Amino acid sequence: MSGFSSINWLIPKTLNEAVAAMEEHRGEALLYAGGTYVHEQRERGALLKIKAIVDLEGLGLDTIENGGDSIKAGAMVTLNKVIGSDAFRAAGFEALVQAAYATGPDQIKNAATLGGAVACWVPVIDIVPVLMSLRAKAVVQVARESRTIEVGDLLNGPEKTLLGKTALISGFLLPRPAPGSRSQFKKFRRSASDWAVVNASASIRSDGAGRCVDAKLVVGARADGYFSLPRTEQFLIGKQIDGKALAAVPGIVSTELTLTDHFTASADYKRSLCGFLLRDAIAGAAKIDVSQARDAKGVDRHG
Amino acid sequence: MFRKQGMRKGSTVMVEISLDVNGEEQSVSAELSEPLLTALRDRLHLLGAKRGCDHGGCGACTVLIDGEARYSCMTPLAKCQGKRIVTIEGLAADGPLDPLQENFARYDAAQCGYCTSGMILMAKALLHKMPHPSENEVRWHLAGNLCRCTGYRKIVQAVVETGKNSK
Ligand SMILES: Cc1cc2nc3c(=O)[nH]c(=O)nc-3n(C[C@H](O)[C@H](O)[C@H](O)COP(=O)(O)OP(=O)(O)OC[C@H]3O[C@@H](n4cnc5c(N)ncnc54)[C@H](O)[C@@H]3O)c2cc1C
Repeated sequence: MSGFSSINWLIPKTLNEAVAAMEEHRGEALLYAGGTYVHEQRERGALLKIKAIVDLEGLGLDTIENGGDSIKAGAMVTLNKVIGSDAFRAAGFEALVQAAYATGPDQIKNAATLGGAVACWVPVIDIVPVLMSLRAKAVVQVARESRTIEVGDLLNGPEKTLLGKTALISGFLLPRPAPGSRSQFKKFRRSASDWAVVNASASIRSDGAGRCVDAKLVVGARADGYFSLPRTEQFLIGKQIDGKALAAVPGIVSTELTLTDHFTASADYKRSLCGFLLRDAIAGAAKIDVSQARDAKGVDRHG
Repeated sequence: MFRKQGMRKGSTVMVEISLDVNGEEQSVSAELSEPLLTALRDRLHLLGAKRGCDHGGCGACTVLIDGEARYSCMTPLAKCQGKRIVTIEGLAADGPLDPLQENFARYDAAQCGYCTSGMILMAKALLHKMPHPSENEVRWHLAGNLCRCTGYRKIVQAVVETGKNSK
């Protein structure tokens, strides 16, 4: 198998050392977390110029800490650690554990990390729409400065150019869900071991009467990336989430998604999948039997 | 900062790497980025872990690293130093067979046998975490190990039965 052309394997002990190593080998250094995607990059021959590996294992970024308003998960927390964590058993984090569980087989979950999953920037990674729907922020070290950036902005916004250069994600801040919050993750794949064609995460907060008071909905679609769905969120807020509301969701989703064809699925098919997965995720989060939506007649496309 | 550097040999950099394989200290001279699978098979002549797809798709190369199931085809040697590696050869080195091995034989859970070492080690890691898994749990956790002969039924049965009989 082809290796890196020649290698300096660096194991920094501090974030500053890691950033310094990236700067010293600018353009020729690669951050290494669980290595599951690096392996695939190497197999493709995409890393022939790499002269230094900056291994993040020595930085102590593999802990999950219960802070006051938020939970802080280090970038090196593996997906199996997310699944086993007490902190993420709290109501509101259901989708995070479900997405970690749905990511590849155990051998991958034992190695793949939260930081690597976000930084590899491949549509469609399962954990990413969930982090976005939970309004997670990434703590990113850029040169000597630590910045806190919404995961969605890091991947889709003006900050998206940071990754892959000298920026290093050190961890994530996940706001503690308010009482009444629940979340749900759904994924459509062509075979049991395949990556998603489309995935969806819904995070919802309901009041005592079952009315939706907050919603954050995110879908991922192969080749196109990750999308928040503000129009569908607005449609839900203030409504009782029942069969009728759920039945309207796919129609509204389709009005706010512009997708492209991919060899796994056409744009229309992906748009349709996004709508139905999201409907099911919302139903799961609201603890509604989704068959109610199948029976109900949806309101028109514009709600 | 700790730097692992080695002697340049042509365009590659060879390093003396010590590994704990099946409880024995082994030393190999290799690139740090070399996959563990290559070192096990081509340098240490431990042929139990199999080369299949080389990208984490088949599970034939599964070994235990510090008790966790890992694909050795995508684990570089740099990540193996100071860790306990167990291959199928180490499961019952000189003693009686492991109960999983016994049950794979009892239930005819192998045909060509290419996937068997990976299956057994994945199942070993599973039973450590979850001593009495249901059939569905076994199927889910063995999803990263492909078998093209048995149809899985007997493999799953062997693992479930091993769990049932464990304390
Ligand atoms: C067999 C297989 C099956 C898979 N199935 C699924 C699936 O079903 N669903 C799914 O979502 N994904 C799947 N994946 C993809 C998997 O989620 C990613 O490979 C994994 O999350 C990457 O994490 P890692 O820690 O291994 O990152 P690495 O491979 O170490 O790194 C990935 C990239 O991110 C950079 N990087 C790593 N950490 C940081 C950091 N802290 N800051 C900045 N940059 C960083 C690296 O330089 C590299 O470019 C699968 C992968 C494999 C091999």
